[in-house]
Amino acid sequence: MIEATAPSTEGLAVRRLALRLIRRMPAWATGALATLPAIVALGVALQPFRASVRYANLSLGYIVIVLVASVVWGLGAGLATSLVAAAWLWVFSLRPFSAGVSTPGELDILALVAFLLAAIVTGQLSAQLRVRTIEAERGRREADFLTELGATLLASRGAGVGPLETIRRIFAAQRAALDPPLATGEISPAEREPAADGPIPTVTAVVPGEPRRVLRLWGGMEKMAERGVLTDTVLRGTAQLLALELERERLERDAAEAESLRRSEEFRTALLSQVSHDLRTPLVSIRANAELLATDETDAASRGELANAISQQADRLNRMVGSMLSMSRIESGALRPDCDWQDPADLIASVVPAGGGLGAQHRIEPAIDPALPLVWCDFGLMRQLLGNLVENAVFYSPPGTTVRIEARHAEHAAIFSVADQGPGISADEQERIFERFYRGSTARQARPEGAGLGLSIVKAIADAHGATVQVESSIGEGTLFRIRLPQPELPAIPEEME
Amino acid sequence: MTDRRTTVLVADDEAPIRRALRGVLTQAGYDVVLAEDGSRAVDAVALRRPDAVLMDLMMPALDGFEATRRIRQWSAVPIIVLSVRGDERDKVDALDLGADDYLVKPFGTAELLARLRAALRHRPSDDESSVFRCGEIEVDYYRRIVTLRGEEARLTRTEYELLALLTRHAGRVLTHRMLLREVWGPEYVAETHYLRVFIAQLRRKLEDDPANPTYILTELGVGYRFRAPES
Repeated sequence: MIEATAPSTEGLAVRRLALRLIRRMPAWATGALATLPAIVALGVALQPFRASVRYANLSLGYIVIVLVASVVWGLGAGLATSLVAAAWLWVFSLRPFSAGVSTPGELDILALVAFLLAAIVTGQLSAQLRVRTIEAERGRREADFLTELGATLLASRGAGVGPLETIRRIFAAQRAALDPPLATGEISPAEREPAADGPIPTVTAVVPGEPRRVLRLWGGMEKMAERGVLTDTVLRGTAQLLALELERERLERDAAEAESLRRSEEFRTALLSQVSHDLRTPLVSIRANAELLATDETDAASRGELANAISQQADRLNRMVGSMLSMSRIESGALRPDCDWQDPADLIASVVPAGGGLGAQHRIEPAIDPALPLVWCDFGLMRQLLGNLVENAVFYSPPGTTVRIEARHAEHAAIFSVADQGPGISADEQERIFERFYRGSTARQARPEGAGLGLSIVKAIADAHGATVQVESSIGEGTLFRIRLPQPELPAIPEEME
Repeated sequence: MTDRRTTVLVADDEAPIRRALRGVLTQAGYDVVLAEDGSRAVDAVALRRPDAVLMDLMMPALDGFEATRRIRQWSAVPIIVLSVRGDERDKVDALDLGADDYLVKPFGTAELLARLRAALRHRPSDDESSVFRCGEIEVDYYRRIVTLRGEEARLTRTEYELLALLTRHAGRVLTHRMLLREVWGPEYVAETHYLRVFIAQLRRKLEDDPANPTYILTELGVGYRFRAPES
């Protein structure tokens, strides 16, 4: 979490102290005190007109002062001011400064009472107006702030900043935490008690939802207080926005999980339907051949053929099980190459089909660059990669054609390629052949029983080795797959005398 | 060899495989003893003294690795482990524990019988002669001389050590670890590139076509094997 810089200017502290002193005085006293000079000044100003102007008319000037006090400092101030003004008028009507002695007339007393009542009523009305204005103003500020917060939270989605951190930044708080913390490791407030040198201002808000959490914000937030938006309404609104945001994140996570589950489920279903179909074909053939073998009518020559067919179908089953196992291993993310220095000749030899069976009707031409000493790779995986390419080449190219397997040295890389003289792959299909279960149109025709897994395994193994797979092919001219396997420097081997 | 027929112990938890192996082995003239898990296999080796063991690696009670390790503590009987394709590590582990050879399931009958014959032939008591001959290669362990078609092949000290080790165990798979430990020393067991380079050098000096070796055979992902003489 990013620490907000603490406000450290001393001027700010002095100002805060003065503000606190003024705030400690009640508003009515402030109002009365502030208007007192105005009342006295008005009395002095009216002195010359006192004889000519009627007493009741004089009081109108004071009403204006009461009005101002009510609007600026509230009802209490208005009442206090009107009392002060009435008292002043009383003193005024006694004419203590005049030479002659006079007693206030009944009419004067009546006017004074009327003034007091009028002052109270006007004061109250204007004070109410003031309260409404202030409330409206605060409401507007709060609404503005929450709108801004909502917009920022929306904008920060997917930007790698969590909603809690976004809220902390907007509040300019030093720290923000949820209690109890989120599972993803938000800091628990218990670990972060305020420092010993004074309480850090803290605000809390209850975040609705399950489980109920408390949002705590520590320190900073002066700007928020100055703007007058550090209110209960704002905190409640913030907590609600946060709850919405957390809920949305949770739903998003759930959806992603469901999606990955659905995909692996989809894969399993596809694999199962493929398995049940693909495995049954050779099984049917094995069973039929075995039953034929068991009958007495079969002559010796046919027996050999039948037994041979059974062996071949068993091999085919074995290959299928092998590629399905690899695919499920790739799917579960367990494909980690266990690399070692391997002899490229061994690798190539391991994928050249043995005499008889697969590849017997093709010319298989291995070619190994003598400049390629050893290859850093996982033997089993690389054998499978090359084996799949060779198998494909043999399956899809007509008998009598050549399949060329090549291992070549390049700068910081070993390059393996398998080229056939088969029907080729069209340009738009070349992009899709590495997809799982995808089978090109020629592939489906030439070998209906294939599962469409071979090349996706090739791609997965190449990826695991950090190797690239390239395909060069055009219709009618065959296909070439090229694997570029990055190589580390071959460690030195101690020299030896003959 | 005694006057009794050669006995082979088959240890596998799958009944169909035991049945199939018994059929094949009986037809080939062997006496067959069956065991359905590792601990029974260990007992059977003690009680029935078989001449060779076919040991499945994945078995309940005691797996093939542990059974191999226990048998090796007191018996030199040849053990051929049966493993599943692609699990090179399993084969290497079993060989390092003292197994003599391995077969990958599913295997052909001919291959099984050939491996069994090789294992029976190369019991330790046979490895005492001071000269090894195979095809056109002759290794004289006493004079430390290797001849190819009657002419002396000039080998470096390390090349000779490697060849001597392989030929003394001709027909048997020696893992990379075993070869590196014996020839270079225990601290070099991870330096497989030494081995690759020296094997390539040996092949250049001894094989007619180093790319298609007929003497020094690669056991893919596992180790090397020198061709058994009479095969």
